[in-house]
Amino acid sequence: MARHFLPAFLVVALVTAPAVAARRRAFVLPAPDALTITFVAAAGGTLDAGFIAHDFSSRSAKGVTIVTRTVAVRVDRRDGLTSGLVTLRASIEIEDPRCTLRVDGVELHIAPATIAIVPAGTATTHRIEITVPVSAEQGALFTSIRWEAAIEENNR
Amino acid sequence: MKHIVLIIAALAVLTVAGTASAATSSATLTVTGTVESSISITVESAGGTTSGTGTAAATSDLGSISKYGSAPTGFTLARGASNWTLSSTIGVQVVKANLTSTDYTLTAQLGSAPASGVAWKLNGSTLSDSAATTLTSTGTYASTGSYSWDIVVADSASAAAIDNAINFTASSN
Repeated sequence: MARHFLPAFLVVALVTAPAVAARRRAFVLPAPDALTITFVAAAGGTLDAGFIAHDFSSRSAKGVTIVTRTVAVRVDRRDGLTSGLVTLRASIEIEDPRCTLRVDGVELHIAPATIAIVPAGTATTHRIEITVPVSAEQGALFTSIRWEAAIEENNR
Repeated sequence: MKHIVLIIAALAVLTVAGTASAATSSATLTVTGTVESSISITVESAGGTTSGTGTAAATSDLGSISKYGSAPTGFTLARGASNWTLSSTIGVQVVKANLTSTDYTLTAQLGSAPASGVAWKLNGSTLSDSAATTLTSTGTYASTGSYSWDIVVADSASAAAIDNAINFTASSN
């Protein structure tokens, strides 16, 4: 009897486990939009790097042009609390093959990378580095960075 | 034994589901800009006692020169019947960035009128201060082009400074 009962129990446990966990999350965690990300002083969520021309006199960056800008990011909690830490992650959303992007020294790719852990409700500045090789063709540059903010459970 | 494996698997699933976290949010920052093409020219070498080579503003000092004196550093001296010629070379390099052009045109022009009885020549062509002389129309980027440089002084020229400037201009083709 026990020999037949154990496999049956395991099947039931496996099938119901995600549902149980989902109910636990819904109870413990705020809604997915419980956080908002705001780019301070970046009108319309756009950062214009301006004209990017190679500086031939720079000995430190042979073969590439590096333009640096800063952006201030604030993550707010919809529940109004300003406590807690938020993990900021970033990835390339729209790629321009002529340049690479780094945020605070972290090179961005399609997969999100952790940039920083910042306090909720406080604007923090981040260094955006745009690297264009001299072999890249001239013309308009268009790329975008997807930012993600997350509060881990033990931080609520 | 098979049952033990199943139990471990089931526990693992429950554990992962229990620690899943995070209220999350996302936003997009658009990054725009305009990549501009550019070229740069440098004087890499020249006869005389030079300074500033590797930059766009080099200086060559020939010191005191005379028909029967010795040639300045990096020059040869040839004496003719009614004139004498100092000969050397000038190395010029043009590099490019963000440009699809495959070659360039290089011209030269004197910065001021030459002293009477003195002719400045590059690649055999006499330079003037009123019009640019084309040295090449198929210059190769990132390669130092060497151009023969002659200063021809007539015996009748007054003893005076021959100072001048050669202005090079590179244009991408």
